[in-house]
Amino acid sequence: MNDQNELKVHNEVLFDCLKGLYGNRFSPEMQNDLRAAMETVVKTVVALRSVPPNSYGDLSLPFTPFRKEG
Amino acid sequence: MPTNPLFMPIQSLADLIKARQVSPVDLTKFFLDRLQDMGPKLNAVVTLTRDLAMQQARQSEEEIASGRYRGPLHGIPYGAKDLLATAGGIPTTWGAACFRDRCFDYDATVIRKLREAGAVLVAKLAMVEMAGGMGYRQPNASFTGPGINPWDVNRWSGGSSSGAGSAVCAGLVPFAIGSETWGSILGPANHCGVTGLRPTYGRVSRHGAMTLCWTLDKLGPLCLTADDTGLVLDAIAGSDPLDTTTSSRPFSYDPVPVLRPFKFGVIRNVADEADEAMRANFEVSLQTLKKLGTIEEVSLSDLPYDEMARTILFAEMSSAFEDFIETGGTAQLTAPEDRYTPYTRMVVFARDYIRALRLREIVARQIDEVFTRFDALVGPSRPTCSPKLGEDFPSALRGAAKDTMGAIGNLAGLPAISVPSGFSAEGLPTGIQFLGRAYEENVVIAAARAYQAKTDWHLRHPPGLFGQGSEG
Repeated sequence: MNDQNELKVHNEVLFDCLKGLYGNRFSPEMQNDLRAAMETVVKTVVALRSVPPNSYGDLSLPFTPFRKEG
Repeated sequence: MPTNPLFMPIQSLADLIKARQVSPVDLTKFFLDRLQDMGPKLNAVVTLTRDLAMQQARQSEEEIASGRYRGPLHGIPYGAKDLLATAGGIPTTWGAACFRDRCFDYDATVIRKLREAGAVLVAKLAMVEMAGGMGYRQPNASFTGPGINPWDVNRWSGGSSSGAGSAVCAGLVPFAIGSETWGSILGPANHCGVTGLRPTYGRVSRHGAMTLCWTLDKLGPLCLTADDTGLVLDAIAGSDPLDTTTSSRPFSYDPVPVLRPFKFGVIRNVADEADEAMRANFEVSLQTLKKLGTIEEVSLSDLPYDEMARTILFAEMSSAFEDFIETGGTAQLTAPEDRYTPYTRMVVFARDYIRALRLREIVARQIDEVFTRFDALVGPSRPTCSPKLGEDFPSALRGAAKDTMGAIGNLAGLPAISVPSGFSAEGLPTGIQFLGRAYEENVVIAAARAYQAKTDWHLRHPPGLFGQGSEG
């Protein structure tokens, strides 16, 4: 899939997902705005995925085992 | 009062207070009156904490009179961004109408530390609702109205620490505490022509501060000078068992000038997307910096820095505000775009979030390697001067502008300071930022101090509007 197609498909899938879950909260006008705002998220993650996986570091986890003192 | 304290740096005020030539009570009344008169004109104040302030000021005065001087913040009034919890029935609104009456029964650690340093809380300052994490794209995104820029009342003061920037700029407080997830200290500092310090991630406890993004949020001061930011950071830095992300590395402000030449780096093409005034003043600033040390161009790996920061922010904010979004809370927000945009962040895949976190590890190591050769990377503080009220602005958060230094600095949790670097043809301030190695706040402050010793931009204040304008 080329970049433009990936953007379009991804955008529509996620928009439909949001519409299904929360559509009743938005007027038709707001749904258009929602669709446009969705593009920012999709463009962002698609750009992120362009970095080859072997370029990533290990995950530095903030979690540490807990033991209450005393 | 025998001395006019307006636009006086903290150390100068402190010297007068310590010598008992200025009374903390008189000083507090002076700033409370300014906040009351001018705060509403700038939409800078949410709550004036008059009773608490007078009580703290009287206590300061008594302690100093009895020889118990706490240090340079003793008796100095300040304002706090309204995302810092305050006890005593003082509301903490996060800039949102739905929280206008919400009170906490405890103080944020920063508020406690400043109280212990003897500082006097005079106001909770206005901010962009929910610290701007909901996707706002124009200045009118707070229940207190758009932050108004004291340099031009038709322009925005910046966000999300809007009130902190404009209150310091207009001389309503000697200093303020703001927060930055991505651009919220450096932005208002740039737009209002004040000095803003974003400390290293984990340097300052966020206990009691609104969470927007656990791995990006920082608290820091907005002041008149770089020296002032060091004095304030000295009081608020330190580990805190109530915020497990705080660092145990000690910080002690070092005001001694660095006598050796600085080594500055400039990221290749860093100013290319900045507007004309930002770019031109940055070029002039580089000529000043050449008198302070060396300047070398730096090339960085071609990575999607902005997208990494944005993905982390989107994913974490959607979790931090999950309940607020799920229960329809965004419908009550001021900015129309804040009512629907947060929903789009709820569909960021976990895989993409983890991808961004893993790439961030690479960025942190690569940029640290760069800092083995430089004291600071310098660049324009923001891509633009203050935008007009009522107009959409470009935003890295929304992908409508690039902010490489901001993205890298916040991703890697690095300290940065923005200081005024001149004015646009329209008379709007511009800023230059000094980005430093993790935990090297003293280095970036020293560089900014040296720059301010060679320039007078930080000594200029909005003329006319308040009847007490000053050029000196």
